[in-house]
Amino acid sequence: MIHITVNGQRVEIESPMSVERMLNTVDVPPNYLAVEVNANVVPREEYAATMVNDGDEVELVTLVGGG
Amino acid sequence: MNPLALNEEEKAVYEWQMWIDGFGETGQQKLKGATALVSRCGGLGSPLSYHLASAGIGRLIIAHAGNVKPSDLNRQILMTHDWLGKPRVESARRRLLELNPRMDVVAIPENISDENACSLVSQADIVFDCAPLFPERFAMNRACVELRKPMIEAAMFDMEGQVTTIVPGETPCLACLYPKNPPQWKRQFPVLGAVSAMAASIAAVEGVKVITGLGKTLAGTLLYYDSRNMTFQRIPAVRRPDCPVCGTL
Repeated sequence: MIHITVNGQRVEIESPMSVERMLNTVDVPPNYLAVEVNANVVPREEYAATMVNDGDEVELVTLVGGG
Repeated sequence: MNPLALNEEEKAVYEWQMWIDGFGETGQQKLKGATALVSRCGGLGSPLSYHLASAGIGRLIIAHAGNVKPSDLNRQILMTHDWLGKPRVESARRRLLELNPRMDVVAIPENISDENACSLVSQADIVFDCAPLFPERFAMNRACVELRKPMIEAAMFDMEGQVTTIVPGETPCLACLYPKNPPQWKRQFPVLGAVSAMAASIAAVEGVKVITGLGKTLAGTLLYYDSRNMTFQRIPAVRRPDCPVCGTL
């Protein structure tokens, strides 16, 4: 098992994995807009190729649309 | 935007902000000569319009349908208790002119739609998107791209907010950021007035910068904040080559 941080919360996942798989593994806000790993925005088309490793900090930026 | 000369009263009112490095009397003249369109004067649009009015914008077009409701009063600071049941834009117009009687306020008692977006946007030098619904935001985005008008995009939800500056042909447009109408978005949302006012203040600063050329704007950057933990992020935003709205610019 490894540990990552998702939106400031420590989360345990079984092994290093792609962003794509990570999004199906951890609790994801239904309105997330963008994914950052260690402050770098991951383009949607690179979710499958970008890895999340032990100690990484993940931010799931959520959708806001209120006026 | 055609800069307009200041009279002695205006020089006295705006003296302190004309001391800002890079702004000066020239910046003030540009503001006086500018027309801004604000879509909805709610939790975001109210404080935003107030800031633009106090800064000395020459003309403000505010579009917002409906009458003042009790549930507006926690955040829509241009609405007052004595105006409950009366048109929102008239309350906004009255309050703005109390603050700045030198400006011109055009009150449109309609929300932005595909039918009126181009007509209203064509009358403005800059547009501020403060609407609570994505179809309104998309209609204004399309009009701004078509007419090549800069649009300051501001939004909030709960304790979070975001602002970016859209320059058609140079930066991502709203449809680049949100290719589809987010199906999960609902018209009613949790909101604390001070949180929407944060986005409004940032958007007002961006607008002043676009009009006057001061500093560096949020063009190509989405500023996101979570005031629950008071964290701020600058997220690079890129254009989508296949964007159906701005892809051919």
